[in-house]
Amino acid sequence: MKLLARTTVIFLLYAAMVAAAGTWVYYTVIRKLYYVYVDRTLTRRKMRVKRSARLELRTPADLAFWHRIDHNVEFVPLAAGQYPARPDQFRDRMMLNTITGQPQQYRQIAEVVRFQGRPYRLEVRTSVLDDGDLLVGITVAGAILLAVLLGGILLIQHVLTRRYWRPFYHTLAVLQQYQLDQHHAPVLAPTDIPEFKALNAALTRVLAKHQRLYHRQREFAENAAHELQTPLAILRTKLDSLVQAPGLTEEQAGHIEPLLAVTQRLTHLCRSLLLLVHLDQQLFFPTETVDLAATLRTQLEQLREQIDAADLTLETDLAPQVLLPVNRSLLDILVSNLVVNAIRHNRPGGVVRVSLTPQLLTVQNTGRPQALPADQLFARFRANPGRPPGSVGLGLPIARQICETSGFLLSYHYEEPGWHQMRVRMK
Amino acid sequence: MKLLLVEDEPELLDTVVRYLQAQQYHCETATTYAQAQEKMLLYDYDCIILDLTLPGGDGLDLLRELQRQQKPAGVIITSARAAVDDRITGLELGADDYLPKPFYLPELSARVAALVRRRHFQGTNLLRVGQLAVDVPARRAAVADRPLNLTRTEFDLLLLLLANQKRVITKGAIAEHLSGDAAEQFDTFENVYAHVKNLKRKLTEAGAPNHIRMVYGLGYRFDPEPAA
Repeated sequence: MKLLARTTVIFLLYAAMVAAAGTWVYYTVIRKLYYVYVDRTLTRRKMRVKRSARLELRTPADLAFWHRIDHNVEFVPLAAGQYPARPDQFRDRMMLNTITGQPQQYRQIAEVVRFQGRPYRLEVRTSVLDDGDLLVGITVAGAILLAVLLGGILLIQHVLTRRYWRPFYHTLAVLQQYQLDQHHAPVLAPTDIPEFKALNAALTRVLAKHQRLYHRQREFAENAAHELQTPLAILRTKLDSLVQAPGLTEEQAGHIEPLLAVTQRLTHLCRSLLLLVHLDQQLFFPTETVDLAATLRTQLEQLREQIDAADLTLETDLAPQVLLPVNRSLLDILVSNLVVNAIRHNRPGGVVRVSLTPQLLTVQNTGRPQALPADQLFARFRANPGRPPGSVGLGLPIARQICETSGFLLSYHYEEPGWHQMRVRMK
Repeated sequence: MKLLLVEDEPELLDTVVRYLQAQQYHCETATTYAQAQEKMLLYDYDCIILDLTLPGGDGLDLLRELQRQQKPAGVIITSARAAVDDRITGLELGADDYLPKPFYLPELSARVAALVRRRHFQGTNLLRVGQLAVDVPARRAAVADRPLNLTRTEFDLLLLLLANQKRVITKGAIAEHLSGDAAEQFDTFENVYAHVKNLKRKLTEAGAPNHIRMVYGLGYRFDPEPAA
C-alpha cells in the first residue's frame, strides 16, 4: 500500500469512528433538549388548562366539549379513591392521529384535578418527533457533513501530495534507474522542502562517493593492465631475441622456456583484465547481425584439434541459422570461452555436446560427478576445485559479462551423472 | 623494403629494429609524435609500424593525416590500448593491420611480410626458397613443381616460417599465429608439434631438404640452406 493510501485509510477509519460516536452523542443531547422543551411547554399548557377549567368551565359537558375541539386536552372522570401516586406524570404513547389516520408518537402530562368537587384525570398532550426520524435526520446531516469534509480533505491532500512530494518521487525514480557503472552521477531535482533537501544532499554525497570509488578502482585496473602491456612487450621481444643468440646452450634454453610460458600467461591475464574492464565500462560495442550458428561451426572447426587431442567426442545439434544483433568479436570470445571451458574441464574419453536453437545455446560436457558451486563459478579469480594449473580463471566471468552486455542470460546446470551444462538464453 | 617504426619505448624499439633489420628490411625510427609526423610526410615508406600512444599526440591522428596526404604506405598499428573501438577506428582510418601489444617478433615480421606482399605484388607473388615455391595469393606450395597438399594450418605455418628465415620461432608464437587467442587457453604445445611434424614430413616426402629444425624444445627455425 502506498504511503498516501496508508494514511488515507487510517484517516478514514478514524473519521468513521468519530462520525458514529458523534451521531450518537448528537442524538442523545438533542433528544434530551427536545424533551425538556416539550415537557416545559406541556406543563405550561396544563397550568393554563387548569386555570381555564377553574374560571371558565361550568359543566362536565364543557369538559367533553373541550376534548372534542382540542384533541390534545382530555378530562377523564375518576372513580372515588382512584388517586395516582404522583401528581405529575409524563409519558410517551402512541395515538391515532385523526387527521392523518396514522398512529403517531405523543408526549403527555397527566394530573388529577377536581372539578365541581369530583376528581378527574387531566391529560394534556402534544405530538412529538419520532425518535427514529430524529436519529435518521441527524445521521443524514452528519453523513453529508462528513462526506463534504472528507472529500475536501482528500482533494487537498491529493493536490498537496502531488506538489510537495514530487521531489521525493523524482528522487525515487532516479534511484530506481541508477546503476553504479553508469557514467554520470544521477541528478536529483532541487526542492524547497528541508527534509527532501537533506535527503537529496545525503544521497548525492553517498552516490558521488561510491561512483568515485568505483571509477577509481576501474581506472586502476585499466591503467595497471595498460601499463603492464609495454613491459610485457619488451619482455617478450627480448626473449624472442635471446633465443636467436648464436651459441645458445641447451641449459640456457631450459631457463628461457619457463620464462616464455610465464610471459604468455601474463599476457593472457592482462588481455582478459582489459576486456573485463571494458565490458564493465559498457563501452560502446558496435553491433551487427551475426549468425551464431556459423560462428559456432567456425569455432568448433578451429578447436577440432584440441578436442581430438583431449580424446573427446564432439556432438552437435545446431539450428541452420540463428541471426543475432551482437558485437562479432564479443560473440567469438563468448563461444570460444564456453567451448574451451567444456574441453578443459572434461575427462579423457568424454563428450562435448553443443546444441543451438533460436532461443538457447547449450554447451555441455562430461566431467566430475558432482555439481560445481554455481555462485563461485562466475567470480573473478576464484579458485574452483577443477581449475587446472596455469588457468587464469577469468574465462567464465568474461563469458558472463559478455552475456550481460549483449542482453543474454548465462546459467550453469548440473545433471547426473557428471554432465555440466552452460546455457545462454537469447532474448 | 623501407620501414618506419613509431614507438616511444626505446628498449622495445631497439629490439624490434634489430629483428627486422636481420630480415633485410631497412628500418627508420621515430619516438615522438612530431618526429613521426615529419618523417611520414617527408619520405615514402613501404610499411609504417605505428604505436598509438605517443608523447605529443595520438597515433590515430597521424593515421588521419596520412590518409589526407594519400601516402602509399601500409600501416600496422601496434598498441597497448586493446579497446575494440581503437582497433575499428584504426582500420577504418586506413590501417592495414592491428597487432596488440605484447606481440611476438616473428608475428610482426610475418604481418609486415604479408602487408608488403599485398601492396607490392598484386596477385602475382611467388616465394622461392631453393626448390620450394610458394604462391601466396593462391595459397599453393610446390617442391620442384611437385605440388604439396597442405592444410590451411600447415600453409599458415609455412608462411610464418618463411617470413622469419634463420630465426627461432618460439612455440608460443607459432600457437598464437595458428589459432589466435584460443592458443592462450591451452597449456600444451602438442598441436604445434603435430603441425610442424606434418609439414616437415610433407616437405621431405616431396623431396625438399630438411629446412625445419627444432631448437632445444624452445621453438623451430627455418634454414633456407640446411647443412647436411
